[in-house]
Amino acid sequence: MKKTVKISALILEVILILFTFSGCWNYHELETYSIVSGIAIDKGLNGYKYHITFECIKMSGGGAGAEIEPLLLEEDGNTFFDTVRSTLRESDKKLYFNHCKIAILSPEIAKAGIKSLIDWVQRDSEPRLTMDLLVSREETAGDILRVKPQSGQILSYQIAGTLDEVTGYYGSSTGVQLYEASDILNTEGISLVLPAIEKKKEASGETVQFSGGAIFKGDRQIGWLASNSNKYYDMVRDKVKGGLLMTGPTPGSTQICLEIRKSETNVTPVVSGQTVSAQIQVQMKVSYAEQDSEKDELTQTGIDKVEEYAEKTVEYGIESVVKEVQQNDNSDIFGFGSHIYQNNRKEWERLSPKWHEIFKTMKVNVEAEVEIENTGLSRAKAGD
Amino acid sequence: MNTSDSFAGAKLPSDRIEQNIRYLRDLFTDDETLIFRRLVNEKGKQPLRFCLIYADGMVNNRLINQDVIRPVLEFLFKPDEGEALIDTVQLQAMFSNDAKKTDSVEELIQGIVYGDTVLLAEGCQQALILNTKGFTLRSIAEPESERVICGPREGFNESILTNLSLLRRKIRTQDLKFKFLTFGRRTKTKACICYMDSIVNHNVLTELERRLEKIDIDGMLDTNYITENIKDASYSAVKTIGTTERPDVVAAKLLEGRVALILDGTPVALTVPYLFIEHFQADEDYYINYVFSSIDRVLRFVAFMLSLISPAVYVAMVTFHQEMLPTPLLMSIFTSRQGVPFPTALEVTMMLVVFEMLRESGARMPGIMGQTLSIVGALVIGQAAVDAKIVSAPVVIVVALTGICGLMITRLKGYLIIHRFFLLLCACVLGLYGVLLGLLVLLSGLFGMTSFGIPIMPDVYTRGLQNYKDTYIRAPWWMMIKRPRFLSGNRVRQSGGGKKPQ
Repeated sequence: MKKTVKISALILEVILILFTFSGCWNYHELETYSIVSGIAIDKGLNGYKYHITFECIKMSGGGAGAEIEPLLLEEDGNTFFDTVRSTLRESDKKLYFNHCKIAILSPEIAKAGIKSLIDWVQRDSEPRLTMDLLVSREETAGDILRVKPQSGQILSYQIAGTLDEVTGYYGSSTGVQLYEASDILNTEGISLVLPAIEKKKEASGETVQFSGGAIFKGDRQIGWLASNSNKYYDMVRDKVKGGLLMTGPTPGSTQICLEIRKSETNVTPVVSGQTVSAQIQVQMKVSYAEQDSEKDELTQTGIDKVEEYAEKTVEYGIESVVKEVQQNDNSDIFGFGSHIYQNNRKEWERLSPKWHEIFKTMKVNVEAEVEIENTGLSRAKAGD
Repeated sequence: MNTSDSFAGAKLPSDRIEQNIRYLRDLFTDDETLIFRRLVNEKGKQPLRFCLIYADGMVNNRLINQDVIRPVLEFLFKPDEGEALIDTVQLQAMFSNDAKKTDSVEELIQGIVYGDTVLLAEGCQQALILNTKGFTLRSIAEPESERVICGPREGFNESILTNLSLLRRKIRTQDLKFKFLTFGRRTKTKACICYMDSIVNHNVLTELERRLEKIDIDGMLDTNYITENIKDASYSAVKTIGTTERPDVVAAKLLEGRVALILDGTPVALTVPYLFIEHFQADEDYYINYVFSSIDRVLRFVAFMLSLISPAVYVAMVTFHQEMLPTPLLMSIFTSRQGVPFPTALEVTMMLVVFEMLRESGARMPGIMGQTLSIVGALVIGQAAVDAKIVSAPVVIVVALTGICGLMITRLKGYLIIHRFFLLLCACVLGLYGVLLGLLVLLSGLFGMTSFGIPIMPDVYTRGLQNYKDTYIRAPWWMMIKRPRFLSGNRVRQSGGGKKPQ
């Protein structure tokens, strides 16, 4: 008898714990939700703090005749969660954020700080931390979501997919997911760069495209990074997964196009007293992708020479992007400070109060090593 | 028990033939299949009277005519033999290979009802039981439920002696033992325990005999009567006793150290102990290339898991963990659920029940109607229900997958049906948590079960590769040099084996 009581108590306890402490006890049918694919955050109208545009997935029909199209909801509110919940005034379906892939911020919101957005996403159980954060180059972020999707049915997913491709194979913008942004904001000696997006007029209508990045200092946006500079920023951050490298005998010339296969960067900060410099070593393996010139650069000048051109281009590109950021924005987006922090914490504690000034004047020394692995042709060019 | 059934110790009443005939006729009152054939031999100085008693239809008439009636009528008996007459018939006159002298009424009755002929002679209290069995039997055909594409095509039939001969022909050694038992107070059904004396696990054998002794039942028409009486885990749907209709399967199991039980009147033989892994082993696995059979084994495991958990996982994913579905899949499920009036859990349950109904009606109805059923089933349940928005298309897919996978391992049919619904219930209440907890419950149940003292899932935790060579994969024959430890004490299967043949 005593044993039975004990066992039933145990079972009861287990059931109670399961129901109360597990996160997913609630049974809910899919169709009672409105699935959000992306959000755009603007400054609120009529004195509200935020104006959020939700792109929801509107699904009608079933089976083969199913139609999927975006449905835009817009709300104002003083906090993110309040804004989200106030959609219930006009819709019978709760917004469901698990499949929300992007959040676009208007420049105004980005300039005012993004900490509160990150805070809400981290606290709420539904939105994913792998959401991509973007900054709109247009005045309002909602405008971006109002563009008609070009491929697929949902613009947000098109944007998220494009961001993956552009990060991996082109390099003009670099995707940053929400948890990475949060990590960077909480790390000393490094600043955030979010990809920037803009509208583009085309013959067939409007579309969206990525163009460079938005430079932050702390959680506030202070400037922009051009598309071309973003590639070299990636090199310093050792984030290059692929992409192209245009080079030629003179800096800025584009006779030769190389495809980056593998790239590795080592940044070594050198501290001596109050002056800091950084040693940046780039090792790159490329293949010869295209040549756009009368003469056959490869056979006439030789592989070594072309590699040398490429090395010069990389060195020049990195030096100029660092200089540009030092002069225009003075925000350590390259993470030189965090390299010092990681290698020598004491030095960093000494330097950090004045890092603002030190970064502005610090020197970088770039050494690039480019190796052409593959010329793409198995025999001499026809006609030579 | 009705005492008129028991003749223990009763003897034929007299040495007068007429009295004995009357006695037997009284015993078989109202049984008109019984034939009393009187014979008189007048070759000698005095006429000698004999009587043959047999059941019509149970005997070989030709045999009785040529080998019993003719010699009895034509033999020249010495005069005044008295009691010795019956011995002369048995030893000199008769052409029968199996003749037994007795005066026990019990034995005579047993003989007559089982196709033997009883011969009574004038002046003898003893009678002869002649083996003249000649009832018709089903031929040795391939069992419908255990077909193979490649391998022996024999199957047991309903006669125990035929079945034992099939087995004997496969294992020609004196080491193969046959022990006869009789079950059923009224049916008096014969059964036979078969085992290889030098290989068998004697603990299992004694345990089996102990449990069999306890059975007290009036009729025994199929081996399942025995199974349910001696099975471990009596309330569970898990099989702990194997069944097969194939002599090659029984022979293989005997060679691994198992014990088989063959019952008269049914082609289904039992084998013990029965491990869980045996649900997944098919006899054909051993007759085809080991690579293919290993692939088949793995497929069966996958099918088992799919059949067990896919409805539960579907419900858990769609109603609890939408975030875990890839977005395109989510959209596709979402659109197909539009307009469906029932909650997902009910939808799945309904379709599973309908599928079980289809399956059962397919098994019960006459074969000719099979075509109609599959058309009705596929069209009405599948297409029409989806078109009419009674169920959503993914549910039909999930249920169909469950069904197909379930049909792949028919031996686990009962287990799958019950536990599939159990897991579905768990999923409806607690989502994936529930599925995992339910699986834990099922697993601990299986781990706790034994079959005649042998745990049914030892292959999961025992050490030694030899124990695994016939489980999740089937190793080539030359590698299987030992028998599983838990089945047999005599472990060496191939001495000097284990090397690559060439």
